[in-house]
Amino acid sequence: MRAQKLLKQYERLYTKVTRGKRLSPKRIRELDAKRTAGTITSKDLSGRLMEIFPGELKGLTPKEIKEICK
Amino acid sequence: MNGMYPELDSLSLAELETRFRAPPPEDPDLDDAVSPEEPDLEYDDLWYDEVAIAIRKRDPDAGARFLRGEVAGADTARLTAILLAITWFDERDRGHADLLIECLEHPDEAVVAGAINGLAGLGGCELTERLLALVVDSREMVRGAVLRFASRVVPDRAPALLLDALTDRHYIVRENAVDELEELDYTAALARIEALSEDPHPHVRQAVLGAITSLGAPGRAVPFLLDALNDPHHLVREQAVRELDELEHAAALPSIEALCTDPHPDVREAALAVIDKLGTPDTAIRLLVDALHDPDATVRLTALNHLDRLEQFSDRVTFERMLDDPDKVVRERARSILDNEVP
Repeated sequence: MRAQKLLKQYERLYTKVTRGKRLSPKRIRELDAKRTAGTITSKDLSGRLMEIFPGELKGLTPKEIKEICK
Repeated sequence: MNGMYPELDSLSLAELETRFRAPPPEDPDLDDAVSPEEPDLEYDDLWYDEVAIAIRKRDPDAGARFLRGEVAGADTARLTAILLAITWFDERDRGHADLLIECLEHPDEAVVAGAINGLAGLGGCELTERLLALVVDSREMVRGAVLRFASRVVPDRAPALLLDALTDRHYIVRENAVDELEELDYTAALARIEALSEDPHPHVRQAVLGAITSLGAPGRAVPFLLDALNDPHHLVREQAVRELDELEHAAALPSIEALCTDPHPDVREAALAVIDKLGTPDTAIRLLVDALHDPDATVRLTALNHLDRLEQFSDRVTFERMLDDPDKVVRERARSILDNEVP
């Protein structure tokens, strides 16, 4: 659940764990493009979000994670 | 590979250490950038986090020695980066818990929160009672970090703390409580979480949408999600679209179709990205072709990509028109489609 959420709601979760900082518009655009294309993985996230990403699901796309979690 | 700053991968340890001591690189994208909806939030891609992690990855032992040597003069950004990288850099390192414990007494709440996060990653280091007692701390970042700690380290004791925190005075604590109740799959909290769907802060409302979709039956979540399509904040509307897509709720199509002309480009993009899955090919083609005239280049690119994937659409002339798009990325994508895929 945490993995899917991090790959979907990174913008909000980044602000939550970083004392109220926002990802820059450029980063958000890059991540949004990968999310829309379905290619986003933990490797695209900042270190602070990577740290709480479930280890066994690192490097997988949302679709691959959904298959594993079925 | 570093997803945020790939250039760090090619630097030596000495070069990385120099970067850590220098100011962050100038980013023209951040100049005077202020979010109109959240003007109080500062843009910051946390450069020092990524440099510190790269330092540890390059040489775990020498990197740790360097980072610990930087603690004394470090500002908040560097110190929180050190706390992150000293305990985690793709692998956990329990050898520096003493630094985290020392930082629990730091005057800056961001540093204390960073120390609690680090200790959570290390399993608590036998400090569970001391840290749980901070759930009533006056600083919201600390209270939020304690909730995440409880969920990760003592999940059986966490629900009571999390339920209390749903009524916290600060949004970041309520947001943490909702997220962690979802993580714990604590379905008994569903009604309490649903009650926060009208929370004053959009981040709480966004967290609520994710939680009610995960914890409740689809039939129970859908009315909340449909309401959220009219939320005043774009992140909440966007989230509602994605959750309805997750539930494959085709009856939401008329509402989502209306969002293809939403004032915010991120919402239009989200709506277009799911329209081909929820609607008929004819409806999807009509909306996607319309979106090729969208004022936002990202929206036009999304429309182009989805049209390309639709088997029922192969109008070469439409793709050829995009070769004159004002945006270079859109033009290149149109060229790629025409060269490789459209007969």
